[in-house]
Amino acid sequence: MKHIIDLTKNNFDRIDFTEAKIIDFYCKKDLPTEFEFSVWGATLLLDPHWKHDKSFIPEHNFKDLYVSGIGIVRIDNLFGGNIEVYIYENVKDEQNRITVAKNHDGSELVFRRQWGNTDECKSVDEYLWECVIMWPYGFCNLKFYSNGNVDFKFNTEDLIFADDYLKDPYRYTFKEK
Amino acid sequence: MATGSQSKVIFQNPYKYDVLNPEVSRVLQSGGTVEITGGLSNKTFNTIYKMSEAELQAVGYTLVSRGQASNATQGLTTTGEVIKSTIMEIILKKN
Repeated sequence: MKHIIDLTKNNFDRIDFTEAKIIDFYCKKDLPTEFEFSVWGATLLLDPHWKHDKSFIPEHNFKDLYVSGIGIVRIDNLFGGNIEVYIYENVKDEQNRITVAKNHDGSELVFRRQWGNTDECKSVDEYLWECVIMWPYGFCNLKFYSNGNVDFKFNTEDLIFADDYLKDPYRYTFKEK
Repeated sequence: MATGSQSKVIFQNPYKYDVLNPEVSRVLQSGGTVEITGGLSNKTFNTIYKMSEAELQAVGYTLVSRGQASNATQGLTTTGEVIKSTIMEIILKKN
């Protein structure tokens, strides 16, 4: 069953995206007024208390839930934003880490784009995602400014306990193939 | 840990616990500092980072500074990717 959680203003704290992966992100050069992108692995922060809609939560559950599936973030009334992506190497280093690719001069390879004049956006709400993006594959700092609604739509059948994800992340995380 | 025995308490990227809990205040000496670092997308850290000076005073602390951390170490995601978020820092003094 599809479910939508309102993330507008302070409601944005209901979901943690730090372990998430942005899957599809196609934004034109000129920022549209409404925009959506898909995300795998949002974490619903139920613990210690969830003061919102409980209709989709398994009975007597108070633990955080991980969406092991694709959800959609939708933002209305966009004013501006920016993104920077630190491009990852496609092989792990000797410590089994996925690190940032380097330019010839040793600096980190980063793609950046800005929409609108973000200095003029300080009077509207700021929304920040700092997480992995799958294409281009890298670590993404994504910021949008909006005075409209933000929400997250997901399939309740994709919910698992966040603890189960942490115990076996490769079982539940996004897989390209 | 003895009451008032610590001059400084450091938290790095706190996640899902009350950093300014009474136990921290108990072990911290008067005038002692709390240094907290984290990314703004960490909701636990962000809640503290954006507290007003009045809100901090209400829980017994005075704001010393807040801004980008100078000596922050970057972590990894659970699946092994290096995290490249901007690490911020807030320093508080116990009243």
